[in-house]
Amino acid sequence: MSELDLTDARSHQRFEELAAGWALHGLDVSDEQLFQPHLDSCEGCQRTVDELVDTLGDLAFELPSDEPPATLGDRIRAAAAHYEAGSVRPLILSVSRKDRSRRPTVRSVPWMVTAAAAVIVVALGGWNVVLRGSQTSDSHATVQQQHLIHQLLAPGSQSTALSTSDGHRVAYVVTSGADLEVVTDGVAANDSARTRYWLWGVWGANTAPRPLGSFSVSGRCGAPPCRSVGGWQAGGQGDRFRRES
Amino acid sequence: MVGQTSSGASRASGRRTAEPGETSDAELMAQVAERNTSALDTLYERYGKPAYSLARRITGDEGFAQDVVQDVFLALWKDPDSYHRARGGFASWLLSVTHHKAVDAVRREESLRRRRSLATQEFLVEQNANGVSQAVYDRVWTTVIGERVRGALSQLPSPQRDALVLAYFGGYTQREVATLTNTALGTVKTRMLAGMRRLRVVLGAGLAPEGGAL
Repeated sequence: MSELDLTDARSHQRFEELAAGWALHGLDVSDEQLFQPHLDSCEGCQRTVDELVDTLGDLAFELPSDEPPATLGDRIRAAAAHYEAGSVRPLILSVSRKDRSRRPTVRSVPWMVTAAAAVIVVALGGWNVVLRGSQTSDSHATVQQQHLIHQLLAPGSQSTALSTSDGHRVAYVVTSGADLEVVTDGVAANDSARTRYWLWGVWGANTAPRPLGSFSVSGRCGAPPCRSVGGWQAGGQGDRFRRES
Repeated sequence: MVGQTSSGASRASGRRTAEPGETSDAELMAQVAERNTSALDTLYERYGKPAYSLARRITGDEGFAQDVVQDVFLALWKDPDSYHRARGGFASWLLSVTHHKAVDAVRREESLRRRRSLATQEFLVEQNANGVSQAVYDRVWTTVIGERVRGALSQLPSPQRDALVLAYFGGYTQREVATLTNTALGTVKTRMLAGMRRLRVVLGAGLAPEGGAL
């Protein structure tokens, strides 16, 4: 096929025939290697492929319909959640929790944080989520720690400390009213251009976790303002992630 | 199916047209790019069934079909921009991806492929040697493909139809089809293109009612 000349009409007819094989996923490797660069540059063959793919789509819609098993949707959701959680080294955290309000709707659940594309899994229903970061290297940290203390001591609040397996606490989750806050205090900084931490919610033992929101942990604080979590800045409002139904 | 905005949406086919007020497929994909799992759920509700139906017919196995469909939607989640890089309507693109992954699954599983394609091969062998065997014909065209698709394909000349059935439902490459049908590779390529163009006309004109095609 290497003798094909694009200026020759017969040669282009042969490319169109390869377009059919392309749409059918039926090209040999050699033909595929020949056709791919041509397709990238030939609007005529692009239109041909589009039309043929569209035709095959119509054909597929005419097939007898089979009902997929009800569990397939759950499998896909779980696979997506696993993908979000699973690309990097996991940092498994143990849980210690104080419940100052005895709110019955908060359940004890496994927590985990993974680095890079990190995940904090929470099992809370009906809360908005406010994500805040905490650093300990400058006065900015003081503001955040004061905020954390205030939240921990506030009537009706609940808190959960997230610790590594060796007992090092790296984050707190505080719920107050309709809000949930995650305050990181030792979670490794991430490159926000490449990765983000994700907060996940779990609404039952048999339910796949669902992402609630994402945030980054910066490497340092100070000017410019630390944006360790979402768009939060010292003295400002945290990002709020409303739970999806 | 809903949300189809390409030219194919208006043609007579098994697709539903989009209903007023429904979020378009493109909008849902934009939401998937923002990691909205509800958007992924909605796309699955719209297209999970036809995708599963197609995958099941190509792989001939419910478990493989589920794996294929999961791969398809997980690929959407991992790389939502892949749709924007593609051309044409979302539904056709999604089913094309489904077809490719199903064919890949069949090719990976040679034993499954042998089992699954046996009927197709028997059909061709019987047809080439003795004309159409009614038993094999029924198994391939009725059980595997279904009546409406059979109605569309029956309007193609048999050499074009054989080539398309082997490639699309059997997962064979053009070269393999040439070998199976004892036909020159160039002839197979020409037949496939001509057959698909003819099929486009047939589907565009609307299919015959069930029971009236053959």
